Amino acid sequence: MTSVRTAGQEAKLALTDLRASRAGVEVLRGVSFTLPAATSLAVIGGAGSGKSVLLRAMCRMLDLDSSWRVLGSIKVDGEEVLGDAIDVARVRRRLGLVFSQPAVLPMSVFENVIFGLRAMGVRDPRALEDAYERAMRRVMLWDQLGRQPSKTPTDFSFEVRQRICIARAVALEPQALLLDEPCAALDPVATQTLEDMLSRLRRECTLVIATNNLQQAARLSDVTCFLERGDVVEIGDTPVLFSRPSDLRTEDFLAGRVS
Amino acid sequence: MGLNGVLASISISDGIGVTFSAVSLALPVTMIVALLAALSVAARASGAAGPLVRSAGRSGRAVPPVVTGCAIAVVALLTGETNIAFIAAAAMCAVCLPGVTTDLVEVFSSTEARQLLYAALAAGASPQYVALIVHLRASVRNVVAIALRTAARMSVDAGVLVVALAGAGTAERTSAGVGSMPDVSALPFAVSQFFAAAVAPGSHIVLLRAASLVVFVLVLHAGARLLEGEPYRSLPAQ
Repeated sequence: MTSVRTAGQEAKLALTDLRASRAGVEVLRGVSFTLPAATSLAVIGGAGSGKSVLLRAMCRMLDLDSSWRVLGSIKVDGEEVLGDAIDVARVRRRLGLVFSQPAVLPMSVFENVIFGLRAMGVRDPRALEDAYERAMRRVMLWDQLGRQPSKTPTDFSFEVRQRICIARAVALEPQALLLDEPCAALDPVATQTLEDMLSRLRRECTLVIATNNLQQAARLSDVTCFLERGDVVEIGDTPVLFSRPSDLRTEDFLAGRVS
Repeated sequence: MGLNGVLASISISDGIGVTFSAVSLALPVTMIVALLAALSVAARASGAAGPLVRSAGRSGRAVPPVVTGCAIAVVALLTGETNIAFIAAAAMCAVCLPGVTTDLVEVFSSTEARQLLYAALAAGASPQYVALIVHLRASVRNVVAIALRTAARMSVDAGVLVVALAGAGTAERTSAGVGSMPDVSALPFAVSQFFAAAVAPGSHIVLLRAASLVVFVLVLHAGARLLEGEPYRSLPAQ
């Protein structure tokens, strides 16, 4: 197992021999790594390398399609995530997944942000308002939108909608935030704004970002994992991996040499 | 007065009460059952039943209403049920349920609906919670539109079914030596209008009756058209 754990830090996420297959075709082939708290991991790789599948497997979203089969071990704070007896909804709250398309729910900004808490059964208005404010501050939307909770998210730009989606995940105080190409639908300016927010967020929350944008991976991550056809080719500190990759395949990918 | 005389004396409003009773009985039952089935399929909470519901909907659409109507007529005769509104309502439920379920499944299974489903599940919601809070909220106008279209279909189709029922009942009464004259004012709206038009084709009132039926159905369809929009339209257009 590739470990990027640093001395004295507890592993927040630990994947051991994670395999995912669909209809007999293996899409993830034994992914293993550990990640300490408040560390950001960028997952890079070409199309079909398994980046999105890795994120979805981690938060049990592959369960929605019965043709997927996931084996191995995923531990969050030492607690196993895979297995039939696990409360899947709790896993998803602990590992907040944000999609590339900002899927805002057909309700107000406030209801969007506290959606997960309501689904959990939280009814105390004070607790919900506090969670809303905390989440909106963390995604740097409080000044812009904090006092307009009844607005409809569709009134805003893609970038703001994506931040509302991130706030929805953050409101649940997840152990890690999984971002699947969070800037894919955004223009360069909006991407920059979102990256600024994520740079701040990564100091307080473990992030796993699947991205096709190598510059973004370099800017936002402490650790980078290069996947190729479901295999981990290389994983290591981002500055090292980008400047001195140890595997020729990584070097080729970073240089844009496609075989 | 012969049968033609009775039928010719049907007023434009005859049968509306029966139609209203039959539709108001059948529509809520059909919509509730179809909604539950469609939501469970859309929320992936139905397990192995999901594909069954989908294929049942597709197959059910292929059965002509008159086949279901005749089957119900036979059951009604065998069980001795004489309440025409009740029989028509039962027939309508059986005829419309597969189609309505399939329509609702399509609404709840669009790409946008799936994106919302995944987003909501990723936030830790249960499939049941998503079905009630997200799907229904996102597509309430479309659900109402489907209900209106179904009401329009029921209002007309009930007529076709009742022709079979009335025919069977008349034959039975005739063979028993009872007077065979149907109470046309109690026949559903569409049937009474069809009958009246059939017995007095040259009359100006026939045009009026045909028009009234068309207007009645069009109003329901127009209401549906007005209501239905792009479900889940909170999602951005790409």
